[in-house]
Amino acid sequence: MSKVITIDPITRMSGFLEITAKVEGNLVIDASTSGLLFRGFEKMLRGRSPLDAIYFTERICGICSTAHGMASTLALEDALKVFPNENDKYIRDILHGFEFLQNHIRHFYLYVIPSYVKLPDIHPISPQDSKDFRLPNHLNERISKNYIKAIEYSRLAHEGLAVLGGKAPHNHGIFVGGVTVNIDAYKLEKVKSIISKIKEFSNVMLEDAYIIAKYYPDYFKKGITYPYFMSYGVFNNYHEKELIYANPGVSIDGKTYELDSNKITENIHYAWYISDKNVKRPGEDIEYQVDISKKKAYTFIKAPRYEGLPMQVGPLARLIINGEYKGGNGTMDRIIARAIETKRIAEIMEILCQKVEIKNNNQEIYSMPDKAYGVGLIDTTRGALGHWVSIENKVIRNYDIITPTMWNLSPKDEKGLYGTTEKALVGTEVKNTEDPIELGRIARAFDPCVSCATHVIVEGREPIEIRVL
Amino acid sequence: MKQEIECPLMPCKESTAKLLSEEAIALIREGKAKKINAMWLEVTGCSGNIISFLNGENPGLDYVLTQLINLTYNNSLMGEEGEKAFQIFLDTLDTEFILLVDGAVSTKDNGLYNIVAKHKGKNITALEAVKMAGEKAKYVLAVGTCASHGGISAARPNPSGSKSVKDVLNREVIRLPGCPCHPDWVTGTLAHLVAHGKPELDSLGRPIIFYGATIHDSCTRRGYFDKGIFAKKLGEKECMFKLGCRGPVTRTDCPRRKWNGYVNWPVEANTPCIGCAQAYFPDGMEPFVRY
Amino acid sequence: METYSNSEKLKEIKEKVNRNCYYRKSMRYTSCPIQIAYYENLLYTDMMNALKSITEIYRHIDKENIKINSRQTKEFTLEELSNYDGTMGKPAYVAVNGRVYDVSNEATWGGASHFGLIAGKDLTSQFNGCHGNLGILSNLPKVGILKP
Repeated sequence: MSKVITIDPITRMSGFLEITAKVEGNLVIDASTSGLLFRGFEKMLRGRSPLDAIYFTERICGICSTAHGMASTLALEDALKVFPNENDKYIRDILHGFEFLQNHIRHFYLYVIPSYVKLPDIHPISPQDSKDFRLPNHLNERISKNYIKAIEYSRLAHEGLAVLGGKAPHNHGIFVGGVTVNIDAYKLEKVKSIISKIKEFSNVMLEDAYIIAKYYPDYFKKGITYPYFMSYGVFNNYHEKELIYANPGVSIDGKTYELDSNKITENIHYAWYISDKNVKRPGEDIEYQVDISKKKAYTFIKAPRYEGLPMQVGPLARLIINGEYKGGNGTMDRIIARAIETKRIAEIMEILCQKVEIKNNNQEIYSMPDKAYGVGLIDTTRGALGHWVSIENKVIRNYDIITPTMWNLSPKDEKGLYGTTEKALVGTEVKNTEDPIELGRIARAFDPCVSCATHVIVEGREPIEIRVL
Repeated sequence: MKQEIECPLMPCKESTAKLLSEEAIALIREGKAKKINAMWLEVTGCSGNIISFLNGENPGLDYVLTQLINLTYNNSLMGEEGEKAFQIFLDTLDTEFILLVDGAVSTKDNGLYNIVAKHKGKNITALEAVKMAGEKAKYVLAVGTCASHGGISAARPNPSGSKSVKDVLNREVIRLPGCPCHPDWVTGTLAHLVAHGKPELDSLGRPIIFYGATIHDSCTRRGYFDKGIFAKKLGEKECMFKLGCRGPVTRTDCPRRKWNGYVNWPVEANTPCIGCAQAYFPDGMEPFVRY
Repeated sequence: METYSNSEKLKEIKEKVNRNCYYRKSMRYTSCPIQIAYYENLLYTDMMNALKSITEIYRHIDKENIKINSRQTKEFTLEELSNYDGTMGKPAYVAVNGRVYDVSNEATWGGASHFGLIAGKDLTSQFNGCHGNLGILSNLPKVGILKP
């Protein structure tokens, strides 16, 4: 007898996510993830001044705004043929690094932990009504205390960001040509002291991740998805090779290949859009219309594919492609990879701080060409983020964005291939269909951000019931 | 023709967010004020305001949640998920509570571009949720520029039909614009509501303590402006008025309060203010940079 | 030509001031009251003449300024106006109802842009559609008129 479970809202994530799972016996035989927020940034950006895109696209997401600022800046630098110098790149990466630290600490403690640890009853963080809390009391207490500390350390990460970028979230400071801050000894020292505090905490966080893994070892086997990973590279654009963290690349069935961004396509088959072309390449100027009455569509998220394959992006993908993680592809692997990455990035930021020289910034006056095209690809907190901008008559003609969550939370494509998270959910054993805590745990490990994924614009028509499988 | 204008901020200079909160908490302990319920409803926005709220320092998040308000519902923090989470929302409606709305309200196609929950098989749109809670709340706070004035969610051509909270509710709404809203502005207003009721609001419904004067009034680079010394590009230390700084038309206390532990603000990062707390952000504040 | 006579006048005043020093020295070296009275009279006459010259110079400068100001009712074509768009250090001019105003230092015109409008244009219809109250313009410096 099959039963349909719908969980909406999936709380403790950025944006609005609904999971629908068809369960037979206790096994999930079909699943779909729906992004339920639409604002339309790509259409909003048309006709605006290109330099404004940096601040504008930051507002796509509140927890990873620096990521969009970076990608937008890289796309504009590509279009305007501007090349920042090494020092500015270090400072920019330190800024970006703080966003990583803030996001990973908040994701682990505020978003993931409440499903595994019985936290004290402080509203709204009161524990889920579930029987599956396995930690002994003393470990429960330890992690609850660290939850409170995490609030302070993630706040500190944003403070470090603000020292260089003015404020966080939605920072300034990153701009075409490099950065706008004039780094001085005080700012550098302050930033260094914050990094060292967070690095110490990242050791604690890694320990907590291993504690969770010890008591929930079945989650190494739950949430296994396609063995396809992708990274656009991050902390990699340096002259010194030993500083590089993640180079661009893809890993398919255990083998690593060079990244070819021309193999990326966007598919709207199961999304609420209609267009002349169901499949397009990012950067192609093709109009979409929204249509909520479209049959079989169930999400606002488009389905990106690399060579037709649904890719997984994020900390696990980066660590598998650069060879630093030798584990598996399950939920717990994702959580541990994120904790490992937090520590790694804190270490990288420390080295970058030592390399930064006290020099003024290199800002110039940037004039807009009449026609230009630029691509900004960078791996960020949740994975691979790409901005494609085309400029005509000195204003933005077309702006395409493919966010990491579009990859991870993608719907099915026209071939019927599940998206990455959908595949992770299918085959899961749900112990108690009245308390399907497994589904939320698996989804959250991907660190979804639906504010990012559903920015496409749509013109709606008749409202329609979302059909449950 | 000189007019004697009294600075609207004089009486407010004594009340910082921290002082207000401590006062409120003391009153709660003495039983003179009640720890009131609150719901933070994230809707058509980027959820940047809740992240900013998590960045609060004086007082910080744990203090606010344990001592100041009883936050029952918030998509980013709450333990429960699915139907059980939305049930908490419905249960809070029957009590006395403060509603904080984070993000604009999408109205296109009856709000179907933003679904916040599924209840008994039916989609609950952001529009419905805001109306349900807004009608019953003791106070409604529109946190952030999107909730206060439409903001970026409503930027031309406004594909999602986003509107400000005031435009969809038929009642008084306290506006706390800012992109994002500074955590002190939220905490300070909450503390004031708990301890003293509604703070003094200006003609747009913003608390005068925080939004009484423009950035230009207390800008750290005002000396350069007054002497006509202007920066020619970003990254310089002079006044950036000629580059498009919106300080003169934006009302917040960014230059004095600063951000993230009071360390810095956009102008001192050598970039002009983009007027993110202004009612016409972003369309009316563009171009942000013009050489 | 008239500035030449201004500097002649100023030269005269300077000579008078020098002479005053001589008169005051002479007054000190005599005790005769009639001599002292005589020098005092000379001083007084010189001072009054100098004041008269200074007043004339001021009046003349004022007249010149008014001439310069009225000569500056510059006429702008729309194409000329478009050069004053406030970019790259250029002044920012805006035309409303046929008059050209300088908004370079107007607080609401940061970056020579105002709520989506750019300087260097005729913004009469936008102004009337939004403000309609000419009082706002009265404080703006006027730099000319739009060529009809």
